[in-house]
Amino acid sequence: MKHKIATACLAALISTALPAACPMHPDAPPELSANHDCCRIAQEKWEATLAARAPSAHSLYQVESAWQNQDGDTAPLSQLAGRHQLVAMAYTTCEYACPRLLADLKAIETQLADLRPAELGITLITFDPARDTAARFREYAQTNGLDLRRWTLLRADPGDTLELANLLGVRYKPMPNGEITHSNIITLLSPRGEIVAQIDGLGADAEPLLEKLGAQKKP
Amino acid sequence: MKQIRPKTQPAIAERLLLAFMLGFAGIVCADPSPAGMQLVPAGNFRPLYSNTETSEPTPVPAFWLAIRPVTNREFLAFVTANPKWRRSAVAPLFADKTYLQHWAGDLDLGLNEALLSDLPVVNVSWFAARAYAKWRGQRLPTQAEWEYAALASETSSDGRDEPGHYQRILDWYSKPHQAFSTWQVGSFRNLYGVEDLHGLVWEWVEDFNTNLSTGESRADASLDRKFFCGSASIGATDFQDYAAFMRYGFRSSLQAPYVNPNLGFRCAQDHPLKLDRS
Repeated sequence: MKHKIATACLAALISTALPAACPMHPDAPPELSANHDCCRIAQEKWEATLAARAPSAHSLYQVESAWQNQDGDTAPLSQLAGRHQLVAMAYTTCEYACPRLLADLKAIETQLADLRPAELGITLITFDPARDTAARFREYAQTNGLDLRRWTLLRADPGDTLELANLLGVRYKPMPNGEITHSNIITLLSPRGEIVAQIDGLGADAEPLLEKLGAQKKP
Repeated sequence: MKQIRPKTQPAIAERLLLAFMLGFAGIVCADPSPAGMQLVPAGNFRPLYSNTETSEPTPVPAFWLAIRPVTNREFLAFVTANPKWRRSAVAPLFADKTYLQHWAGDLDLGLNEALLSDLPVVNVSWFAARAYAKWRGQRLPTQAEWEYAALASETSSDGRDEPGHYQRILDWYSKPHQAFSTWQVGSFRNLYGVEDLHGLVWEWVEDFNTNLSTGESRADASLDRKFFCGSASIGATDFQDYAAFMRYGFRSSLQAPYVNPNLGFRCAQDHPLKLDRS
């Protein structure tokens, strides 16, 4: 069996164009088959791994849209699956609300420093995919000292962005001067993409989020 | 999103080009519009709530708009082809419990099938409406497109000055359920050949929730204060257009998974001669 798995993975790696699905695990989610991570998971744990990642009826990862990250890689939203995620929507050229929203997220990150990046991710989704390119994301991450093991910055088509905003309960409106008026909501998603808790407004008390992650507020 | 950003007046040359191209298309083939759609020509539109600092109207590029709202028959074909949008299968995230509740079953319009088939489908969420449009290779109209097209009466691109036309819309709003409507499918055909924008059902638009009249907006100092209740009317551009106030108010009350027995939708499509104004 082990030999079979190794052969299959080796064959896949050798081929110049990687197949979309891992031959051994055709039902593997894309984020697991991309680097053949699926082949590194022991067979007996495979079922459990799939179950933990299976989208539930309440999972935001049911959306069919494609999202590009700061590395320029495009994948379904389920690329965020497998760990808790703090999700907020913002745009990098925003001068008023977004820097404060970012500060709020970083403050929560400090509170949750005990959680490894593999357990908790933080994701920023842009309202402004035209200006917020992958290169702009990298620049923004560097300027703001974002640890990219923890943080993901995502962009998608305007329609898909609007769809996700509606799922998160975020409202926004582009203004004639190029700014975007928007609500400031931080959402905690479960590893399967279900909304676990939300806080609304700049400087809002993060306690409901910390509580769900089993963390104590630090003095 | 892009369409409602006010920009400068379209250049005369562009308009002439469009007119020429359309004329040319008219010669080559009798009906250049996709099946069931009508061309709404480019024009300027002043949204009910526009930014007071910019008095310029919003240019609306030419687009195609479905002649009629999507019917129960058409939506049945969609859910037949897309099982995840059937009543019993739809994820609660994407539609409320009363989604398609006026049908007898997943693929069954029930005893009223003959009557229902050609009536606009209602009890559909924004997510479902968008999924349908995408399946057809189309999209929902933006709020600016819908309102711009809906301004037209039978004879004018702006029916607001026609007392009869305006009163007719208000009369309909006073008894809005299709079961009580004295209007029939296709009874109102406007200047562009688009039917029933008024008279049968309210309709979803792509950006239904961008009027930002919510409590959460108060946390954001960059928000226009005029989006709030009383002050909202101060920011309005047309105090007489009570019908538009009602539509904007209704849209603001919606959330994307909501379904409503008066609320349907129609599709739109970009015009290939997209006039690039940038």
